[in-house]
This record gives sequence, C-alpha cells and structure tokens, in this order.
Amino acid sequence: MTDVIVQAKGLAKRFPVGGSTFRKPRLLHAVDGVDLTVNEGETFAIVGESGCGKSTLARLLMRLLTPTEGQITIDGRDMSTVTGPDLRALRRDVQFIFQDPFSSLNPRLSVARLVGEPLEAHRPEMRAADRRSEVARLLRQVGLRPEHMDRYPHEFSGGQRQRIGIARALASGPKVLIGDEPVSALDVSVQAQVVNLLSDLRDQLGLTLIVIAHDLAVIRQMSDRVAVMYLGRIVETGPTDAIFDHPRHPYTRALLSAIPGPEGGTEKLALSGETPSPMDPPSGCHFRTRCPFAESRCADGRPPLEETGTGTSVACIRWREIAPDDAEPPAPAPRTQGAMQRFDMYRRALAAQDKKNDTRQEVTK
Amino acid sequence: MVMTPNSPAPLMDLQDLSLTIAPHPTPLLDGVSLHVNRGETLCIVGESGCGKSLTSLAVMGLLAPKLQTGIAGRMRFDGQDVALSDQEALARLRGTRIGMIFQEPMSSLNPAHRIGDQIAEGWRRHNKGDGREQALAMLRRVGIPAPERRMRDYPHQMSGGMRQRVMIAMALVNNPDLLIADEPTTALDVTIQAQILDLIGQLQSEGRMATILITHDLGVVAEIATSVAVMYAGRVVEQGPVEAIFQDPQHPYTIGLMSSVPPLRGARTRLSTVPGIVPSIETMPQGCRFATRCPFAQPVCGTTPPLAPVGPGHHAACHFAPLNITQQGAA
Repeated sequence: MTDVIVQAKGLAKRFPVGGSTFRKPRLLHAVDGVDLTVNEGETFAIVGESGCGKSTLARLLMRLLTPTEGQITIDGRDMSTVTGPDLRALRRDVQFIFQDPFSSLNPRLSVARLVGEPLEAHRPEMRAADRRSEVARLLRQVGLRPEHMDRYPHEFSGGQRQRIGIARALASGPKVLIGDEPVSALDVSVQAQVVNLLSDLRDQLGLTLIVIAHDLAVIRQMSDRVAVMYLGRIVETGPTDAIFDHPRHPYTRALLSAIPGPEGGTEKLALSGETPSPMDPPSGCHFRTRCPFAESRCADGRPPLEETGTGTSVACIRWREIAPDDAEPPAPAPRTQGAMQRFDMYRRALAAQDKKNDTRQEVTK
Repeated sequence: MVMTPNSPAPLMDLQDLSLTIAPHPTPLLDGVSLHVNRGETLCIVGESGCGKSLTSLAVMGLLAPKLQTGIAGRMRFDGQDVALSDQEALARLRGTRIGMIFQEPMSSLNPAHRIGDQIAEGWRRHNKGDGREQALAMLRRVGIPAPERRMRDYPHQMSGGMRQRVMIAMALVNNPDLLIADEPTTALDVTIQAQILDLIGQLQSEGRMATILITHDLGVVAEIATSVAVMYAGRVVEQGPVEAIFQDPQHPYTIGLMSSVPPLRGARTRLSTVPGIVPSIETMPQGCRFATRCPFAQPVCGTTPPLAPVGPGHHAACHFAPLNITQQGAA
C-alpha cells in the first residue's frame, strides 16, 4: 500500500469581495469543500478552466493561503493553521514552480543567488563555498551548466528560466513539488523538454508532484491520477487512464471533446455559455446551467462524489444513465501509420545524436 | 508560388517576402511565399520567433515604421498587384478587403468606448451612415446574446470569449475577402476556444472569404486548416494540404514539432523533443536554419535547401526530403 503524503478534507476558501463599513462583503467561493489524497511518489494533476479554483487550491496546499474551512495534512502533520517555525518546515518540504518563468525570477539576482537563496533560508549553517558547489549540482540536475551560475535571468530562454525555477524549488530538498501551469508558457518543443525533466526528477528523487494545468494532453502525459475541477469543486477524480478512456461527468466529457484536432473528442459535446461567476454559483450541481443532461432535480443539493467501480469517483446524480459502463471507449490512436513512422525515425536519429554527444562529453572530460 | 494545375487563381498570393533590419545582414523573414484561395483556411504554424506574426503584420502593412524600410516582396490580391513596401496601397486594403483579429482581445479593444461604437467605427471609416445597424447585425451574427443591450457595454463588462466575438464582429463588419487571425483562441479556455473555432468556420462557410490563421497549436491546425505552412526562423520550411502535412510530414522540424505534442490516445511514452533553442538573429546558421537543432543534419546542410515538391501541392525545404530514401541509409 502506498503512503499518503498530502491529504485535504473539506477544504474551503472564501474571499470577501467589496463591502464597506456599512455593507457586508459578498463572498467568492474559490474552493468549496474539496477532499483529496495524494500518494507518495505519484503525480497528481488538477485540471479545470480559468476560475475553477485550481490555483487557489494549489496555494492552499502550499499554505500561501490559509483555508477558511477544512484540514490539510502533509506527511501526517496537520498544516491547516500552522505558523512560524512549523510553517517554515512545511515550506522546506513543499515547494512551488510558477507558471511564468519571465516574471517569477528576480531580474537583479544572478542564478547563483536565485538558486542559493532557498539554501540560505533552509540551511543557514552551510558555508558559502559549499553553497556554490550545491548550486552547481542543482543546475546540473536540471540540465543547465554550472558555468551559468553567474549569469542573470534575461540571458536565458523561457525553457532555461523554467529550469532555473525548478532548481530553485529543489534547493531545499522538498518531498512535494507543486507546479501551477509549469509548462503552459513554453513552446511545444521546449514544453516537451520540461515535461521529461519533471518526470525524470520525480523518479530520481522520489518526489511527489502536484501539477495544475488546463492542457489535457500535458496532464495525460505527466500524471498518475487526475482531479477535474469546476467552480471550486472536484467533479470527477481517479486514475488518469480511467478518466481519459471512460469520462463519466458531463463536464469532463465536454472538456475532452473540446480539444481541437483529430485526437479531440470522438463525441461532440459542445457547451453553451460560459462558467457562471463564483460569487453567485448555481444551486445544487454547479455545472447544471451548462449541462446538456441537466434536469430539475440537479438543482436540489450538491451531488456527492460517488465511486463508479472503475476506480474513479464522479459527482453527478445522473452518471449511471448518461455514461454507463458499456459506453464505447474512444477510438485508438488516429495518428496515421505514415506519421508514426516519421516520429520513430526522428526518435532514433535523436537517440543516435544523444549517444554521440555523450561520448564526446566523456572524451572532453 | 505553389499551385496545383487547374486550381483557380488564389485570392492572395504572397511572393518572396523578405524583411531585413539594419545592421544585421541576415534577413528576419527570408523569401516567404504563401497563397490562400477563397473559401479556404491557411494555417501558419510555428513556435515563438519563427516569423509568423511578422509575416501577417507585413501583409497588413502594420509593421513598425523602423521595420518598414527593410521590406521586399510583392503580393497579388484578387488580381491586383501590390508591392509590400507600398504602405498606402496596403492601408487601402486593410479594414475593407482584409480584416484582422488579434490574440489579446482586452488590449485590442478601446476600454473607454462602448463596443457598439467600436464596431460601427470600422463601418463609418469606409462607408456612409453611422453603422449602428451594421454593428448590431454583426453582433447577432457572431452569436452575442441580447445584442441590443450588449451594444452599450464596455469591454470590461464582457468575458474573454465575448470580447473575442466582438473582435471578430469588428473584423468582419466591412465584409472582407480575407480574414487574418493571429492566435485568436490562445488566451481562451478550451470549451470557449471550441465555440470560437466553430464560429470562424461557420462564418467562413457563409461566404467566400479566405482565412489565414496563425497559431502554435497543431490541434487547432488539424481542426480548421485547408492548407498549412510551417515556419521556422523566418522561412517556410514545409507547406501543403492539411492531410499531407499530418499524414506525411517531411521536414525534420515539422516531425519534431508534432512528436513533441503529448498524444491523447494510445500508450504514454517519453516525449520526443526538439533539442536546443531557436537561434537568434546574431547566431543564425548559414544554409538550413534548422541544421543546428536537427538530428539528421549533415555537412550538406550548410547550403540552403530549396522549397522543393515532395507530393501533390506539398513542398519541403530539406536536402533529405522525401525522407523515406534516406531512412534506409541512416538506419
């Protein structure tokens, strides 16, 4: 049995909006009663569209925000309300990778300072010379060269900057890395490099990854389990393959079918309208105003997350009727034979080149 | 120019667009030729810095003044010959014959004016009348609910998807022959993106408009394109009908780009990547510009490969295309 490393129970975050001396503020329900468990060594993904509360949830797990309600346990310790030295210990164990590598690195600090800063904070006893060699080791670990240490962020490309951000997150020796859209600002080819790097690091260091993203293909590539969020709630969760092969919740199905291209929806389930405001969410099931299957009883109370028997849980009172077990799994890879051959050829050429580079590096050493 | 026999003359035929910025001798855009027919969608695809947006700005005559001196090349637009350095001729086409949509609807709309007025302004500039009626009709056509009321809204009162609909309404109010859309759905959520792509497809099928869509998202290309041009570092490296590009990609960059996209079906294996980064204008290699990142590169890649035919209407700029022949030798 795997060990649970992060657990949240009934987690809620409400932000007051507006209000004055004489008027009570309205409440924005960013996260609304979320339960989740993340096992040690896995990649857990949280997916949803803008305004679904996924970033707020990530910030709660990191305790950059304090939950309004509910409990967060990390590695067996209750972290919902800790402060001071305990919070500092949490920050050492749980680190964050930000979305935008252009605005999340201080332009006036050298790479050595950027990556060394967390070492100063978490391991103050370390001597300056040791710190430099530790920074060099971290840079090598994320695929940068130690010579880069005395350069500044503007001298790097987006992908390299994201690597610096990852090195910085690794500096304190965390157990859990939380990435809020860690690859969405990058070009596809660079995105693939960073996706590979993150999964290598997870395997080498035994990290647990929590990845927030809106790109379903990236999620599928990286994660073991997924939670789909809509308006502050988890509507469906389970193993990645089960969710992608047998989506049950109408929202998950719509998300999958909205992906453009030949691989996108085998079914067409277009959604009308847009996500309602989290200031004033619909009663009952939050998704019912856009759901093509909604009935009047969907307005009566929050649908519970029910186990489906295929390892997933879904929060829809009608899932048995609208997404039964015998629903056809989607068609296999529509990538054509010709294209696949080309991809194989490219992969082989790339591998041959890597091998050549490796031997060349050995020689220069 | 690339054309299959018997095909009608394209609506727009861009010939040999080049853009040079002093003091760099290396052109930013180097011999870009593209064409698009009425009723069809050309997708220009490539990563940041490949020159796809520069190309569209040059066609619309919207390049910054300091870049305008370095433009060379011509365009045939609906039978009319225009030099791309002739800013006045381009300005006459812009807004009437050529409409455009940009990526970020919030920064492209004026926050201080009601959206009805902003759409009508485009009409007033080129026609008689106040354009209110046309603006209202356009809002209805792009699927904005309660258009009479929405006419009086300011941009901040609308969501991202609605603003992009307003942008489309502005671009189409004069019924242009060519719509140029630069990353029109990149800032939108995936369910909203699906709505906007549907809308563009539907508006196009109503008339005989041609569309040039610029994107980095291969999924969008597969969904909407008739033909595709893949750009890398200021050159078109491969172009052809959408089926040919996806089923028989020939240029190593196209192949690398496609295999970097995680698949949605089938086994999950380690992703292929395109190693390294796009060269800057100072470090641009001689000959094939992709050679520094290409796993197939050989000494011959120090000379520039021509955009040569590899199939019907399908062209690739690689010394080793068509690739099947070299596959045997390399493997």
